[in-house]
This record gives sequence, structure tokens and C-alpha cells, in this order.
Amino acid sequence: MTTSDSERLRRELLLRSVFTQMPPAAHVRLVDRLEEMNVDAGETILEYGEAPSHILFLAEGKVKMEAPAEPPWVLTAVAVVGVVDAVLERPRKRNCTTLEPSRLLRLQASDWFDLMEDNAQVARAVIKNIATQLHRRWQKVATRLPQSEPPRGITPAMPDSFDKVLALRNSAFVKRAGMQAQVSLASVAEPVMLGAGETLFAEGAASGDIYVVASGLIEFAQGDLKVRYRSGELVGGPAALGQMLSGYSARAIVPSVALRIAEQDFYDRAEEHERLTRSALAYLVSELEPMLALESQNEKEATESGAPLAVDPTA
Amino acid sequence: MLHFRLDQFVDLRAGERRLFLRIFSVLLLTILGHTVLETARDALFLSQLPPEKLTFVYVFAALGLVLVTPLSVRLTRAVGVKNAFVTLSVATAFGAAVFRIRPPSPSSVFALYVFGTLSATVLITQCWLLAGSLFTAAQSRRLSGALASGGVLGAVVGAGLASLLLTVAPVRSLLGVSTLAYFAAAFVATRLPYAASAAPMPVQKTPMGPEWSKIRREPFMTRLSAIAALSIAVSVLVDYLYKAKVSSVMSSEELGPFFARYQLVLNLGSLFLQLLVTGSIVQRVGVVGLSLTTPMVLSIGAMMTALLGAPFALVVGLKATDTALRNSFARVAAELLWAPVENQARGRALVDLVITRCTQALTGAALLAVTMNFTPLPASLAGVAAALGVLWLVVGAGLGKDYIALFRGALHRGSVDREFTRAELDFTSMGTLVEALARPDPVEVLAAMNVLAERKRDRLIPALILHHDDEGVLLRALELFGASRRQDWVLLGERLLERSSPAVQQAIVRTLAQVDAQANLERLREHENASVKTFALLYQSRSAAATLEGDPLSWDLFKDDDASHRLKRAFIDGLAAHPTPEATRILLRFAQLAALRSSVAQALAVAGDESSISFLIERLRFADDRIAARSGLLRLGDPALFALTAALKDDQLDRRIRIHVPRSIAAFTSQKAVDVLLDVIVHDKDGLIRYKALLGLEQVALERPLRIDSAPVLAEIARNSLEYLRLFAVRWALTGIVAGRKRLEIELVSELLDDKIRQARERIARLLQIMHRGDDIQALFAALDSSDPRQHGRAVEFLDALIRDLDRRSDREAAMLRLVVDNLLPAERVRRAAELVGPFNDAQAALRELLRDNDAVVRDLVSRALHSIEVLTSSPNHAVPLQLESPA
Repeated sequence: MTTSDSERLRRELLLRSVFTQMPPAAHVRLVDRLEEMNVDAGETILEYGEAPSHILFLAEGKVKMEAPAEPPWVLTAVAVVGVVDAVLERPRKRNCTTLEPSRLLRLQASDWFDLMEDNAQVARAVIKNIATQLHRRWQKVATRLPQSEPPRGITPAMPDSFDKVLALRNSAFVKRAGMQAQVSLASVAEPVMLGAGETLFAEGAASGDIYVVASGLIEFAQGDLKVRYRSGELVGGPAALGQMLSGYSARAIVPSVALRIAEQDFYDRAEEHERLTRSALAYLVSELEPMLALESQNEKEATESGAPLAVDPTA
Repeated sequence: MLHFRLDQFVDLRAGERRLFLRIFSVLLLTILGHTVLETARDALFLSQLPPEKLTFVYVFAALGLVLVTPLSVRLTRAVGVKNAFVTLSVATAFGAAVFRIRPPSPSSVFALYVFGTLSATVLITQCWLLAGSLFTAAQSRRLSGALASGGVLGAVVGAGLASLLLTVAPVRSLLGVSTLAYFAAAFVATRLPYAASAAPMPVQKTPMGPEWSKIRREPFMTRLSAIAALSIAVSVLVDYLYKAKVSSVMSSEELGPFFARYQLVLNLGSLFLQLLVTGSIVQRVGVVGLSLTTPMVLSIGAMMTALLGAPFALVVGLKATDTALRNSFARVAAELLWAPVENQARGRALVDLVITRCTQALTGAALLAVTMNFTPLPASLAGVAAALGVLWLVVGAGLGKDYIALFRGALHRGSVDREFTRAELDFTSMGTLVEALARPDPVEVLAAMNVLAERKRDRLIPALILHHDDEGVLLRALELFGASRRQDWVLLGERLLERSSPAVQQAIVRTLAQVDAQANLERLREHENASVKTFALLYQSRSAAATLEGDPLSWDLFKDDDASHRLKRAFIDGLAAHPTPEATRILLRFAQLAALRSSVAQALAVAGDESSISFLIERLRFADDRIAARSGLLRLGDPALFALTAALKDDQLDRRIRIHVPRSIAAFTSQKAVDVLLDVIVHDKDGLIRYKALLGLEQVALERPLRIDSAPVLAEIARNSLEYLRLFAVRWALTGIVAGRKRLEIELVSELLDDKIRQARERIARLLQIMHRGDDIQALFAALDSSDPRQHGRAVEFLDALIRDLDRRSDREAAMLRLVVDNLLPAERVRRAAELVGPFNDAQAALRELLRDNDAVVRDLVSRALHSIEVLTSSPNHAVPLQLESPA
């Protein structure tokens, strides 16, 4: 082995630490595409408004992500930086500055997405990991998130295929997947008609399915925790993609229709329409931001200290 | 009107017309000036000096060019291609004016000849460099033929002017016309835009060394250099032969009109070639074929001339052929061959000017040496020219492979290392890993352990790792210890038994059995923990080759098992690690409990016989078990592959299982697997299964050098290209009905079509990847989407070269692919595609095409869109016809 091989090895160790469920061959493929950055304290490494062409792995050091009028996020090694904007394909929303001398590895966002699109196992693992972590955050702030109100004057009918396509088209988690993927999902989505108060699934009964509200209003509950979902929303939010619905129950508040999609079917479709994976990821990271804002607010209220929030959507 | 006529001959795209016309004019005027000057030069030289003196001219001109070349290159780098051309044109115009003023003498006609040769070579090269800097490779390919005809047209006009002028004025008057033409070319060139690649670069000393080494190192450059050298040698020989022959049969008064008429006839022929032949030949034979045309024709012509004793007509014909082909086919071929070369200006300066001129000087010197001793026979000269022509042909024949390799290099985005690297570990690396093993974060420790295990250095993992707090670390360490059969951990393991979780306790017992620590197992039979005791007994009895009979679900061993089947799961893991002859039967019996099926699938990945195949195929349905099921099937070899092939053809099998069969077959990476997948791609009715087979075949193609029949892959490329064009035409037809009447149904169908179009293109890329395993086709298609026209142009050319390289029968596929990937305006693409997919007269007809789709949801969407259009058309307010319109 040469010195550069040692460096490759260091990077491989870092990747294995961050992407624990990724197959070894995927690590090897990514190692070749990383660029090393050694940055002094106080330097800006991501700028507000720039294109999210790459993501950064913080291997050593500490960084701060800031936006005007927003509480800062402080990240320490090991963390992934800049992934939210890359997934949402939008200009950077925060400046990122090093707080101490840091070592980062830079990866083109396109390489990262290529890897996920090439490897269904990786895509699935990433979605589940992010969903699981988000779900933990969601549990802390769910009651403070905005709640949906019942729709007025609409009596739901059994949806035909066109209605199913429309419902999925309006659903945040497949919105970006493209019409072909939505049509494909619609063909495997089974409508479930519910009268007011009827149970969609009881606690411990949900297994291996995800539900999208096609019309009406559905309450998702665990003990005192109650969250309502309306048309286009994924029942349970991140919990649905993290296979954690079984800990909850769901029932219709008003006459409602939900679309049931077997998780296996969803990932089967994602293998054919890779934009489904991207869309699900985009949905998850878009859910992350309001939670982080609420968490920061909680922290501020509690301690006024702005404790660090590590954003590691892939851990 | 001009537009109409131009479009008949030139494949111009939006925004190209003005630029094309300007470059065309520059070339026309430059060649016009050169043709007139050349007529005057030849006539004046041969009227004042004997033809033997031409040999000195060749040497002087060559040496002059060697001196002028660096100056020209420096000028180009200092002021940019465009300004360099303007400067050199103006300088040439002044030079021609000086010779017009001075009366002819032997020394002045000698100087005029050298000046004419130098200026023409430098200026024409500069002119093509200018065109090359303003057009992309794809544009060059499309427009070079027509552009070169500008040069030939200039030569025709120049020769015609010279013929007319010589009826009323002396030969020297031609030099005045030449002066005016060069000035005009310089003026038009000032109107050309600046291209990024044509802009000035900082003047810096550019050593030739790297370029020489590039020529030696890169086979393509070596061949281009050899071709340039052979080409000029043939040209010098033919030129000398021709002028010596003309001088020997004509008086000095006849020379001027003869050269003018000769130029006129020659250039009219060239123009005909250029306008009607070159373009179609380029499209038909490809770049390499085009580059071979000139040496082939010249070799045959020179051979005939030599065999027939070099009669006047044949010699003139040979010279005419050389000139005509050089200014048409050879020039276009050179432009195209240089297109993929990065920093072509520098390399080209070296090859086109230095190598070429040195060869010219050497050929001239050789001729001089010969003519000083005796007068060579014209037939002998023709024979030598023929031999060199054949050599040129041989060198050119090997260009194809290198041409593709160069495009490949130009587009390369970094190869994807798909193989798992298992390099040896050096001291520094081991230090890094051992350091990682000592870290508190379990993921880092696990990562380091895995790296060591994968590199067969797991013995470096210290037994002290069993002091780690994390269960995952302990389980992985025990797994590795068991596999390595080492025993240095046993003592620590036994101590750990007293304070660890049930999972770790079972792992310890299992690992003790693996390393055959019988004394320790014996002690554990008396352990207070029931689970530990049971497993110690189990492993010991297994070591003693005792058979495991009966229904495992009714064994006493599991009577105290909990609701999550912890003991049974542990037993399944143990059985996988130490399979017995009854392992498959026992595991499949456990699989009758739904909760244990995943554990059984994981166990059957490493243990079990052919009787587990059906179960493993069934487990392909579940994402969590799929990898394990595939591993199990792969381990079982041909019987499993046979069963998978049968499953693929079983229409009754649950589609949720069938769709995962192709990738499972691909995992076998065998010739049989390839053949099955190819068959699926061509014949299966289910689009998703065909797509999965395509993904699988791509995976196999990238991992193993197995033979993949190109015919079905090419047929699929053609089918997907047709599908792309059909969908594109439908989409375009729909675009026409949107204005002012946006309807959701139509919008949905339009979005669907956009996705299907994208999908068809992606499948084409994957099929190409199968055929060209060494290339990063994703990068190629990314370049096709590039907003940089040069990058796009290169990608189009590379794609064309790839498909041509594959099979001579692939012209149709290449044409369709070009139609898919070229940067055409939508209306133009649809117009051209109509020949293949048929025209759609209106939006309804386009939508009805989609009603044949296999997917019921698609059919439903389309029928709603059709209904929506019918409502619109029946509306009394309907004012705008729904026929295909041309959207802005």
C-alpha cells in the first residue's frame, strides 16, 4: 500500500462509520470520488445562495450553519453537511463556517445520487435511516407542529385510478417522483374507505404498508400524542418510511379515503423509477427543517445556550 | 430564397446560419486569393526556371515553414485565432502586392514561389483552425463538407477569374487580384464572433517536448503524424511529376492560360465532389472511411500512371485527383479526426506544420539528390508515389480504434471502480486501523474490523476487543474469531459470559464450538443459565455427529422459548454456522412459522441444499430477505439458475416475485445467465421484467468479460429509439393544443409522456453500456445534456463512433440514435422522425396511439385526456383548431 492507499483507507473508515448499512463495494466506489479539504477556523465552506452541487463529510472539527433570523446549527465530526439543500435541489439556505480547524471530504451530490439510484439496497437503507432519525425528532416536537383541519363539505367517494393518480400527485412524498412513478404507484395503491371514527389500523396492527390520505382527515395517535393528516399527506410522516407505524393507531376523524401501498411495492417501484427514492428523500429532509427550527426554539427556551444539533441524516 | 437554397445543401440548425456564411466567405476569399496567386506563381516560375529548381523550392518552402510555424503559433496564442488570421491575411496581401509591383526575375519568381507556398499553408491552416474554434465536433461533422465547398468555390471563382484576366492582361496582373482577395478575407474575418477557445492565451514558452512525447505515447497522434508525413510526401512527388511533365510539353507562353484552365476544371470537379458527394460519404462511411478514401484513390491512380509509363493525361489527372481530394475529403477527414483532440491547436501546429514541413523538406532534398545525378523517369516517380500511398492507407486503416479511444478520453469522467479493492495493508494503514479499533464509537470500531476482515488481516483484531461495551462490536468480533479458529480470546470470552446479553452469550457458545474448545463447552454444560447450558449441549452433540431428528418445533430444547423465538433464532444461526445433513429440512420446518422466515432465509444463504430453492425464490419478494435469498441461490449453482429461469417463464408466479428474478439470475454472472437475460429483454411481455433484465445484464457486462450477442442489444436500441421518437412526436403534437386551454387531463398525460421519453433514453444508455463495457456511458449521456455545445458535440460524435465501431450493419441504429441525441429543434426532430414513426395529423390521433398501452392506469388517463379534447372541440366557443400547431 502507498501513502495514498492509507488515505483511501482513512476515507473508507469514515464512510463506513457514516453509512453503516451500505455495502462495502459502495464505500469503495465513493472513496474514489471524495476530495479532501483542510480548512482553518473561521472559513466559510458553504455559502448562502450557491448551487448545492456537493455535500461535505465533516471528518474532524466543528462547523456552524447559519441563516439570517434563524438559530444556528452546530455540527461536530462525524456529520454530513449540506445534504438538505442537495436533496431538495435548491440553492443553499445557510452559510457554513468552520469553528475550529477542520478536515472535510467533499463529494459531488450527483455521485451520491447516482450511487443510490444504482443500488436499491443503498437507497432503501438511506431512506430508512433518515426516517428513523427524523421520527425520533418528530416524537419530541409533533404536538407543536401545525395540525391539519377537517375539510368542509366534501363527501369522499371510492377513488378510481385517475383520483388515485391525483392524490399521489398531491402527496409530498411522491410529488417529485414524476408522473410515470405516480401512475405506477397508483396501480398498486388500494383505496380504503373509512367512515368518521373508523379505524385505519390499530396499535400493533400496522405492518409493512404505508398510507396516503386521498381525502378526509386521519388522526395518528400513540397515547396522548395525536397528529392529524389530511389529503395528500403520508399517515405517520417519517414513521411510515421508517417502518414504525406498528407503535401507533390511526382512525378517520371525518369520512375519509386512504391509499394503502405495500412497502415492498413502493421499493419495487423505486427500483424502476429512481426518482421515487429522490422524492422520498426530499420529503424527509423537507420535514426535517421545521423540526430543527422547533428543536432550536425548545433549546433556546430551555437553556438560552443554543446547544449543538447534529444533523446526520444518514447515520 | 437564400435560406431555401442553402438548406438544400447544408444541414443548418437554428443560430448557425450567419456564422456559417461568414466562415464560408472567409474560406472562399482565402482560397480564391491563393488559387489566383498559385496560377501566377506556377506560370512565372516555369517560364523563368527549369522544373529541377522546384526541388530547391520544396526544401526552402519547408524550411521557411519550420521557421514561420513557431511565429504563427506564438501569434495565435498572443492574439487569438481570429486576430492571427486577420494579421496574416493582411500581411499576405501586402506581400502579393510587392510581387505585383516588382518585375519578374529568376530570384523574384523563386521568392514568389516560396512566399506563395508559405502564405497559403499558414493561412489555410489558420482558416480551418478558426472554423474549428467556432464549431463543435458535431457541428464540424455536419458542416465541414459544406464549409470546405466554400474553399473549392473560391478556387473555382479564382481559376475562372484568372482564365478571363489572362485573355486581356499579363500573368503578373493576377497578383493584384490575389491582393484584393486576401484583404477581403481579412475584413470578413473581423466580423466573426470570438469563441472561448479562439481567444488569446497568455504568451508563454511552450516546449515541444510534451507534444513530442504525446505523439509517441498516444497511438492516435502517432498515426495522425504518420499520415500527415506520408500525405505530404505523396503530394510533393505528384506535384514535381506534374510540373516537370507540363514544362516538358508546353511553351512558356502557354503555361499561364494552361494553369488557369487546369485550375478551373479541377476546381469545378472539386466543387461537384464537395457539394454532392463529400457530405453523403461522411455520413455513410464515417470519419475513418473518409480518411482512407484519398490514399486509396491516389494509390490506384499512381499505380496506373506508373504502369502505363506516365502519359501526360494521366499525370495531369493524378495531380488533379491529389489536389481535389486534398481540398475536399482529406481536409474534411483531418478536421474530423482532430476534433476529439484536446488542445488541438498546439498538437496540430506540431503535426501539420513541423512534421509535415520536415517531411516536405526531406522529400524535396531526396528529389534534389536524385535530379542532381540523373533525370528520374516519370513512371518511377509515380511508382514511388503509389508505394507511399499504400503505406498511408495501411496507417490510416488502424485509426478507428484509436479515434474512439480518444473520444473516450475526452469524455471520461473518472472510471467507476466496481471491483472491491483488497490491497495489501502497509504499516501506516495498519496503524490507522489499530487506532480505529481503540476508539469509543462502535461504528468506527466495526468499520475497522470489517476492513481488516475483508483484507484477510482479522488476526490483528486483539482479543481485548471483548472488553468493548457495544453488543454489535462483541458479536462481530466473536464472528470473526470463530471464522479464524484462533483461541486467544477464549478466556476473556468465558469471563464475558457472566455479564453479557443473551445474544452475546449464545454467540460465545457458538464461537467456542467453532474453535472446537471442547473443555470449555464441557464446563458450560453445568452453567446456571439454561440457554447457555442448552446450547453447550447442542454443540457438543453436534460435534459428536449425533443426528437431529424429528420436528424441531416440538423439540424439548425450545419448550422454554419466548414469544419472539429467541432460542429458535439462535439455533438457526448456529445451524447456519455448523450445518448438518438435516439442516435444510430443519430450517424449512422452522420456516413454517412466519416470524422465523427471515432468519431461515439468512441461514439458507450459507447452508442448505437444493430442496431450499423454492423457498429462496419465494423470499425474493421481500426486500429484507432478497440479498440473502440471492446468495443462497447463487451458492446452489446451476439447479438454482435452472429453477429461476423456469420461474421467469411461469406466468402464474406472483409478479412480485417474478420481477426480482432477472436480477437474481444476473447474480450468477455466467454465460447461461447472460443468454437468459438477453432472451427476457427481447421477448418478455412485462416491461418491468424486461427493465430488470436490462439492469441485470448491465451489471453482468460490467463485472465479467462474458460474450454478449450484439444483435439483440442493437435491436433493443433500435426499438427504444423508435419508442423515444414515437413518444416525442406524440408529446409534440400535444404541445400544440395547450395555448389558452390548459386542462388537467392533458397536463397529466403530457407529464407522463415526458417521463416515458426520459425512460426510453435511459434504457438506450443502459443498452449502450452493455455493448461498451469499458466506457462510462452515464458520463456520455450526461455530456449529451450538457449546455456546453462542445461537450455535447463530442458526446454525439463519440456515440456515433461507438455504434459504427460495433457493427457495419448498425447504420440504421446509428441514424436513429443520432436523431434521438442530436440537438435538434423539437419540430425538426418530429419532422425527421415522421419517416420512421409516421406523422400525427392532430392531437387526438397522437393520443389514440397511447390507448394501446399495456397499463390500465395509463389508458384511463389517456381516455380522459381524449374526452377533454372532444369537449373542447365541441364547445361553441371553440375557435382555435386543434390540429398540430407550431408552438412558439
